[in-house]
Amino acid sequence: MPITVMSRSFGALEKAQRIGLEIAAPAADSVDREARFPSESFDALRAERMLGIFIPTEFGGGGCSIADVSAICTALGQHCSATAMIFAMHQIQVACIVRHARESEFFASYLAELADTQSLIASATSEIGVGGDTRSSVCAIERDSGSFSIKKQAPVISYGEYADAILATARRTPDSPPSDQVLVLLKRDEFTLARTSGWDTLGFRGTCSPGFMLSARATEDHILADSFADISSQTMLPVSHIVWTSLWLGIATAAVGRARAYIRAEARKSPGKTPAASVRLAEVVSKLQGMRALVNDSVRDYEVTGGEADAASGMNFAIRMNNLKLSCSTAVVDIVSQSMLICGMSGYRIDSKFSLGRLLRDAYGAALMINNDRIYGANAAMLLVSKDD
Amino acid sequence: MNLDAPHADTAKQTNSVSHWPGVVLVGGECAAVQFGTWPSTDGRDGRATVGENCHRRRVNEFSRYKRQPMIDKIRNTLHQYAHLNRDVFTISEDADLYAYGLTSHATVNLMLGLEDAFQVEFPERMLRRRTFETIANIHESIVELTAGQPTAAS
Repeated sequence: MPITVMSRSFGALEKAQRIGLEIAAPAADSVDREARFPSESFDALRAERMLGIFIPTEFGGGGCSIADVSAICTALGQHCSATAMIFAMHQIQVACIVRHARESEFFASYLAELADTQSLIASATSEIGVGGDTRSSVCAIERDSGSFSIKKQAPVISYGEYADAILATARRTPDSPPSDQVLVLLKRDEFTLARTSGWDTLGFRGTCSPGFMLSARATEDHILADSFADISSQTMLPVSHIVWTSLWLGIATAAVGRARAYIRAEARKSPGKTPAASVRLAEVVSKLQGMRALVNDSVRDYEVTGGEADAASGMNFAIRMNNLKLSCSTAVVDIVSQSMLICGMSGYRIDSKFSLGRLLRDAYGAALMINNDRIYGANAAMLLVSKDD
Repeated sequence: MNLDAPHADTAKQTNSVSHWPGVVLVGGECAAVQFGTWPSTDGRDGRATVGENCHRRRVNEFSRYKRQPMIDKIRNTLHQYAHLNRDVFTISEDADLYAYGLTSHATVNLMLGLEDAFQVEFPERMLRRRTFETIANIHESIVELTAGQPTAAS
């Protein structure tokens, strides 16, 4: 089954498929059970220079497009959700720097360093006290003769302990309102993390996302020039929704793959007799196709509309990108659940090759990371003024 | 077309016929002058020209009389809906409203308030962060939307 028809990735997709199949897949159960960082996957991704694929070639990166990154997230998501999610989140941070800071001397050299060292960037956008609204900050950067300091109580920082750098949001000044935010880069030797909670969750256990008290001090050139409002609407939000839904598509594809294999095995047992659940398989394959079409359509939408700063900060685009996340986060649960019905007890068992437990647990996370109700609320507000699409 | 809007007819009308004699507007722009002259404030009768020049002049004439009442009305609407951390009646027209605490949620209410106050409807292309960034930007957008509507600021 072709994952995408748009890849110009010069082998990056094939490398991701190989890493997924040979390295991420065999480790996926232990990563999940022990809630541990998928280090073997990331050693392999670094060795193939996959962490720099979204960096333009002029900085020494792979120069891949959003379509390539989307296809790679789907490929990894078929084998290990945690590997795919960490990879996806890293690429979101890269996209923000490439689009909103490459003009700066500091960030231009940082992008080259990133491509060279294959550093992993985490994100600290949520904060205790803002109720899940990433467009609000409590903490502020405090400037002091060319440097700044920041102290942030983050309820989660995914793979924070394994990251080489963190992009964090904060209010522009201690006097700024909560919505006037900047994005700052903090490198490993510039920040400290004090763990404030654990990460023992239903799914995405290998993303290792406990809460932390983040304290950092860095020079002012680490502040991205564009306001976070622009970074968020033009890049962080659409790219997040594309890469997340791409990896959820990987989870859904893996589940349907198991359902297909199960039905085939059943059919072989009694040739001439169509297995009862094969109709359900036909139904779930159609749902998967719809999900894939929506992801690919949104990738094209981002390539066309997302490139224009003005249109990308418009409401129609935001509503469409939100709808991508809303639809796919529910579709993935639906598709994995239906695959479970097809596989029956073999899908319910943990110790079966048709087991769907991990995929189902991971799928339930999709509606919760940036809660769907919050996104529906945002769309509902925008629809009060937004005109026809 | 938004059929719910009570002022949909007005909006449609201003897009086709201006209140200036003989000037026919197509899609909000001045496309052709059929007859007559432009009234002007300096006593000269300037014959209207076509296209952009005509549009610019129309906007200039309009804003000379209406600017201050419009700005006041915008400030009133901001006062009602924007929830800034500054006094909206004393901030400059070029002040960044987002830096004063305008949120995206409040922006939606502000848009609705402005649409009601000025009897306009912001087209999709204006539903951008930049449109609502400053009082001057809001004014510019409303001037564009109300050009040809004599009662817009009253």
